[in-house]
Formats: sequence, C-alpha cells, structure tokens
Amino acid sequence: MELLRDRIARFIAEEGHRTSIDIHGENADVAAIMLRARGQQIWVSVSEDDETFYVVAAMHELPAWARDAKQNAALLLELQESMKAVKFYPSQDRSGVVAAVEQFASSPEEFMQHFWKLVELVRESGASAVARILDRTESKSAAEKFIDAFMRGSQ
Amino acid sequence: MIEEVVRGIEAALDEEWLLHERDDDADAFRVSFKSEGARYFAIAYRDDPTFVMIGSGWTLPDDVEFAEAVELANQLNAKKKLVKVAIWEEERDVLFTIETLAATGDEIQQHIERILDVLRDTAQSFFNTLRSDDAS
Repeated sequence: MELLRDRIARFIAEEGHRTSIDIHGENADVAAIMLRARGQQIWVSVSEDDETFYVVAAMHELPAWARDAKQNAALLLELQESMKAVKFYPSQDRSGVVAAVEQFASSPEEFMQHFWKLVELVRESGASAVARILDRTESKSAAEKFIDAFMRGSQ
Repeated sequence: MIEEVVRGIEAALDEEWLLHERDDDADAFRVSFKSEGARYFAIAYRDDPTFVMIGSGWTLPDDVEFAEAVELANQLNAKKKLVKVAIWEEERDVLFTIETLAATGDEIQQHIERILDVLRDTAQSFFNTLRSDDAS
C-alpha cells in the first residue's frame, strides 16, 4: 500500500510542483514534504499512523536586525489571535517566523481538496506577520533615535 | 539565441521547484508546466528569435455568455499591466498571455515569478467577475 507521504507528494507533483521528503528524526512514521510555491518554501507534515491530521507551514525569514525573539514573541501572539486558523512561532534557529495551519480532514482526499487554500493562508499570514514585525522594529528604532537626539540636545 | 531564453525559463521553473516538459517542433520551442494545479505554457518561435509568450488557457464555463466574456476581456486588457486576454470563440477558451521580447535567458528568468503572479491574478479577476455577475 502506498504510504501517506508518497500519496500527498504524488498529488503535489500532479499539481506541477517538485517535492522532497524529509523523515523526522528517529520516528520514520512522521515526514515533512517540502515544496516551493510562489517563491516560498512550504512544508507539509504527515504521520503514517494518522490520516486525519496534517500540518501545512511556511518559514518566513527575518532580516538580522529584526530577530529579537523576545520582542517578537508578544506580537506573534497578538497576530495569532487576529488571524483565523494560523499559528505563529519562531523558527528553531530564530532566523524567522513559522506560520502553520494544523488541519483535520476526514481523508487524504479531503485534505488535498483544501491544499492550495491552506498554502495561501500560511503564505499570506506569514507575510503579514513579517511586515508587522519589520514595521514595529523600524518604528521602535526611529523612536529610539529621536529620543537619543532629543536627550543629546537637552544636555 | 531564443533557445537560451527558453533555457532561462526552464531554469526559473527549476528554481521554483516546478516540474516542466519540453515539446519542441519545427516551428517553436514549447515548455509546458503546472503551478498550483493550473496549466501554463511558454512558446518561443524559431523564426522570431527574441519573442517569447508565456500564458495559460482556460475553458469558459457553459453558462457564460460569449459576449459577456469578450466585454470582460476588453476591460481587463485596458486595466491590467503586462497581460493580454483573448477569447477563442470556437473553442470557448480564454487565454491569458504575456508576450515579451528577451535576448538572454537571464532577462526572462528574473521576471518569471512576477509573470506567473500576473497571469494568476488576471485569471482570478476574470473568473471572479464572471461569478459575481452571475450572482447579481
């Protein structure tokens, strides 16, 4: 019988996209199927022992000057509250933000029906999150510069 | 020269991890590929070594009036940058294309992402407008 990861990868290939499959650590049942869509790296996590649960995620890189994990954490929570279905968290190496959707589906076919909608969701919500982080970091740095200049002027 | 442009398109598709096929003939170099399930093509004619066309073709739904589709195509041609919309009456097809001049593979390679975005966006506008007209 075809493995779930191969079935999903075959569907993605039929839709025109090359994929690569990574096995998660020591658990051979869990795999990540990697693809690119509109310039964005996307991955789909599937587990061979659960055909009803899927994760679709996208990593959105942040420029080095905006990688303050502590500062970003609160904003990510705030954004998460305002966006339906999407989860945000810092990437493991802290170089960016992951936007993920965890999806229940009654079958792989049902998941595949919604696949591109889910990809769009993680791509667009992640891009909004990055824009908000950059905007806030820039505003904060501008405010700090202004305060520095003001303090120097008042001495 | 034009074959190098086609190779630039293929390289850009490789960078995007998109699967593609070449089907050249005596007249043209042809590349077909899919993105997010939608079919696209690129054609470069052997007798016109700097002209390249990238596009996607869709079938008009049966319930869409031909005149309505033509009017909408005209509106989009006036409004949208880069893309051309054409309706083929006999086949009941709508064709979205970007036709451009390129002398090297690099010239086209760096714009493929934008080209695909524009093609997708125009097709979406076309069909969304048809649907909203139907609903009203």
